[in-house]
Amino acid sequence: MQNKAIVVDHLWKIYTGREKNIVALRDISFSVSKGEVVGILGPNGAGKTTLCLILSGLLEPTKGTAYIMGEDIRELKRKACEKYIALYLAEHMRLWSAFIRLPALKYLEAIGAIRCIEGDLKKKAEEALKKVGLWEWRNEWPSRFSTGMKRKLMIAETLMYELPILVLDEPTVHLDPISCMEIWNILKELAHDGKTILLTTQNMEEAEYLCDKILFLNKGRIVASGSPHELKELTRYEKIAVKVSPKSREFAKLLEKIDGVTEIMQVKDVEEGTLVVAKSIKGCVEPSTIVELAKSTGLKVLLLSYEQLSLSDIFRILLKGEENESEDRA
Amino acid sequence: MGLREVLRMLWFASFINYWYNLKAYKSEFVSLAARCVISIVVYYFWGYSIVYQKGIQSYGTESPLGFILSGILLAEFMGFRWAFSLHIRTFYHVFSRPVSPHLQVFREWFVFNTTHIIPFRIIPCALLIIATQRLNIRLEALLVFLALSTLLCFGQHFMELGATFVFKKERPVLFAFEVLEEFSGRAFPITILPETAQQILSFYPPTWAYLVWRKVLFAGMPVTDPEFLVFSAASLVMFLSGLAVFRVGVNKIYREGLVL
Repeated sequence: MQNKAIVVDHLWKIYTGREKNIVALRDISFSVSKGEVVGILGPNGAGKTTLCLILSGLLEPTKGTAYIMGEDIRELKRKACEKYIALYLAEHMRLWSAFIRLPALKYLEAIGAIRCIEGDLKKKAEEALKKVGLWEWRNEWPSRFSTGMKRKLMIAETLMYELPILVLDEPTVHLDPISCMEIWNILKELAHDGKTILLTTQNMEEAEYLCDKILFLNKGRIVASGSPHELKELTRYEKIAVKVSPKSREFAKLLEKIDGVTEIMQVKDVEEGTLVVAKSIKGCVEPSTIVELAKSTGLKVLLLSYEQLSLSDIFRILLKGEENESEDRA
Repeated sequence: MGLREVLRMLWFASFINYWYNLKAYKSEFVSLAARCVISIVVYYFWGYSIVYQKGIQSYGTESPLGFILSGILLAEFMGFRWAFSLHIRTFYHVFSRPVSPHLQVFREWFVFNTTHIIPFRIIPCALLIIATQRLNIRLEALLVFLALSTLLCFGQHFMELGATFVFKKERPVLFAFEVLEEFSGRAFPITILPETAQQILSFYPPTWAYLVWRKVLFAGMPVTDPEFLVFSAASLVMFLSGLAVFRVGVNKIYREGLVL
């Protein structure tokens, strides 16, 4: 427990609606060690933001609890944000309009003063701006910043509180790939400095790039967890990409009939022929079987590759499994 | 939080911000003009009626201009409901920061008054009243009134914020309070309203504030006057009940979240 920054213990959250109750979190348990970067992956409505709010002491859990640096969140409540957690909710955060016509450096100083941050504010603001890569823009007004730069400025604000845990809810949502990469690098740097980071995202690439551990959350339940590598190993499936010439979409139907092939993921006509991507059980489909199948139909195999499934594929499989399970239950 | 942090916060919140926001004066004047238009339109339709004339006399003045200007002046001092950064959409932003939300409301009141209200609205309006009206003010009554109306203002705004959190609706709730304030004697004497409405409004503390404010300005009302005492009690009640409603609203969101 001493080494743990966050311990979540059988956490439930049920929102009471007028007509029916919404179960946002169902019996969630996990822990985050100090200095670890943990990603919560999940589709819309999976319960990611609810989890962030509960951990920050801004929302009461219905059942179960969580411990932040060993202290019970039910007792800490909003103090969690004062003592341990710098929360960043991309959808809820705004620049403070009264100060957006101040230069960026002064803006951070002003926010620091308004939030009563102790110590040398100028130095803290400078450090925060440098960390998020906005130092060159220190004399520009935040009102003129792009969305990505505004996000970085808001992350800089959260850094000024110098709290040990960063909880980020979808920090790169609605951002272009370049801004995403810039924010990932900032977070990577912070993780390197020893900050404990819990981030929620729908972006698999982000999770894979940043996280030491990933939790897949769906309908309020953790459906899988582990390091990105472990999760990829977890699945018994792999991806086969075959390019045949001349063009033949019929080949996909034949490929689906081979033992071990479970799903045709993609069929696409390309310049030299047709590309078929199939999901198969690991080690079940020999390359020779595919080549012979192509030969028997008068086709030539131009490319044949076996790939590990990406996190997105795994997430899709997990979600599908969940859906089938609930259908079975129904 | 030490004295140094408080002074630094006030410095940034008011003076620095003021110099960088000078451009805002145009919109402030437009907004003030809109407020004046409401009062003038009411005067245009009802001003010559005996009910209106008698009504403003019950506020301690015979001058419609004095009545209108004093109403606008007090409304400017108390009405900053649209300038909050603490509302439903930014609830989590404000509450996730290590600073008291009560301090945030005080800070906004202070910032808004020093940067926008005092220089662009209160000073011009006060100068107009001084230039055009015959004032009869007891200094101690004016000071006590200002202190109590500040208390009432905070109570009212904590109540409004609390109500937006309880109902999880922002604009309709704030608009309802805005309408209530318009009817409480700011733009016209409440005597032109039906009897029942007048009785209901007598339970709304700003009604007493508008009544006492004008009597303090124009009729030399002392602090010992029964109406002043009622206003004092109403201010205290408003402040305490405002804090209570705010607490109820915050606790409701803590329990239920913002899921509607």
